Amino acid sequence: MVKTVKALGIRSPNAGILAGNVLRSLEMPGEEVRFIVSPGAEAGMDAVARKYGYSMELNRLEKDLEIRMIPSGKTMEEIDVTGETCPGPVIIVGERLSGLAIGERLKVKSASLDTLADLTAAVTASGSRIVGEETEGDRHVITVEKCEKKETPVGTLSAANRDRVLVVQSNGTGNAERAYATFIFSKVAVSMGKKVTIFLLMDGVSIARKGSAAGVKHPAFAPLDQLMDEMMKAGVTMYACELSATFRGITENDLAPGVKLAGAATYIQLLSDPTYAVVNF
Amino acid sequence: MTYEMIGKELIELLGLKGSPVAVKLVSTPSDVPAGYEKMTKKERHCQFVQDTRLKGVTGYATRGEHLCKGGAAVMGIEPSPDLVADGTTYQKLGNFKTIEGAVETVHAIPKVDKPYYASVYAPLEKAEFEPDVVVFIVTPRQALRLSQAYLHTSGGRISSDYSGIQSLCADAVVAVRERGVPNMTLGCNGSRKYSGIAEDEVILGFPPKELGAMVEALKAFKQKWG
Amino acid sequence: MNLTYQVIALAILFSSTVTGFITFRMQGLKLAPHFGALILALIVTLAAVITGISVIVVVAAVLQVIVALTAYTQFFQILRDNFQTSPGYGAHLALVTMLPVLAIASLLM
Repeated sequence: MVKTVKALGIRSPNAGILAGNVLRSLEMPGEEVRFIVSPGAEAGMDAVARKYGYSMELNRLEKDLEIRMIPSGKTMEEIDVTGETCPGPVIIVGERLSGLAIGERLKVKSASLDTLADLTAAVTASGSRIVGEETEGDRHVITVEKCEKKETPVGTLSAANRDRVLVVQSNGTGNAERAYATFIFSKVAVSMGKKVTIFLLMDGVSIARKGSAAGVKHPAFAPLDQLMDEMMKAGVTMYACELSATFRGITENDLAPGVKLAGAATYIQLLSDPTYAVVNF
Repeated sequence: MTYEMIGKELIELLGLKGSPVAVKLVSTPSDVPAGYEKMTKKERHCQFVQDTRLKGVTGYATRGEHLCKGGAAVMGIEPSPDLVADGTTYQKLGNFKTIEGAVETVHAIPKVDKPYYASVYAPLEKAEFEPDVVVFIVTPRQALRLSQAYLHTSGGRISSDYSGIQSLCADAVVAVRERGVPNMTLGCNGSRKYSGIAEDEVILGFPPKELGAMVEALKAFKQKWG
Repeated sequence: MNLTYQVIALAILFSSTVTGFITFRMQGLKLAPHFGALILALIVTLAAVITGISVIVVVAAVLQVIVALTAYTQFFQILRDNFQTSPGYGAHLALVTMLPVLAIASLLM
């Protein structure tokens, strides 16, 4: 666990006195403490760290400084994703990261540099950062630090910060690989902190018919309905094109729970929203 | 020791005027201690603290009861007013020569990092909840004894920081709550004007877990120093 | 019993293993009753053609009908709701739909 203490505007030596008192009064000894201070506060902090049995790390933030006090002998959580095929690594790391507090770190190892490159893209897209890269024997290692997630207001034109994904699916239960892609892709996007919306049209609405997804099974994955359920529980929104559904005799009552009928206007609205990255399967 | 005992001992040992004030921030309506009612008048946080200290008032204040938006904002009960956040308000009030100075100060004000539903107040000896912070409005001499009591166990020094604005809210409550260490502050124009903090009074905030040992220290001081 | 119809059925079953595999792959390679029936029918039909024994021919014919039926029960949902993808199943369905006629013909003529 990491405790963050903001102590801005205080210079040395007062910052050191405050830091010492904080470290001494910790609820959970062995906790890592992250002080956010103003430039000028860092002098003397390493002495404080040593006095209380911590090692100190100094990082520059936008305006302020971050001083990390790490209890000596504390080891970071580590995971080895060697051998996992995409999207395995991204999902595993994404799930571990979501359980960490801001400022907490995680070491990820893999024999494949490409896997780590993919993971770097995934974690930086959700606002976290890579604070270290090294090799340990035959394993490449990156150290990921969880950072505060930056919110993108709906409808703004900040092209660098698209944190919504629209998955458009025009293939259905007749094509297992494509049908599975809907949810596997969504799962990765969710683990990267994206907000996912799925739009099913044409054959895609067959996935939304009550009971149909249960009949689709690919040897490498769980039955399709389980993946669909998992994504609904993770907050993914699912729409089925009303016209495509009508053509196939699917009414609102025939839809799997949680799927909503939508018209062209909804589709166009989603497509036109610049905060959505759109993918077609 | 219960807070009832601690509160009474502190009042007696220090000769306090009024009571130490237990303050807590709650996230949802269901976290409000049972039996506590909303404050009846819309007032500033510093006024709630003084009313609790001198009149024994208990209760809680949500966004609707907080008159001072600056105070409510650092406690997460309201979003920070833009004019405060960009320095305009404090520069207009005359505290800072430049707007940059105002922004610098506002940037450094202790604030909580998530929203809260309400602030809860009670005299410490009557508190039926675990406080986040206990606020003392005391004379310098009483402040001296409290500081000595805090350092009695492990020694060292106390560092206090303040900026002459948002004293009872940011310095005495939020800073202490977020850091887990005491802070002393000198009030501010608002709190001295509206909540009647006297000329010879200063404000300290302490984490509640320190108070037990502090009472023992004060007893030891009384024995030794009279 | 005229074995010619069984020979044609054999050819169709042989070809169906290829179209079947391609089609199953689209469905996610489910090991399904239809596929099982297909393999079984292929083996029994081969035996019928080689030996000419009536009983085996009858069993082969029954299995051939089952192959056609199971194709439709398995593909029904897909046929009903997937207009765009159904043509991909066309080759296989066309082949197995021929089997019941040939099966009956091989028993009656």
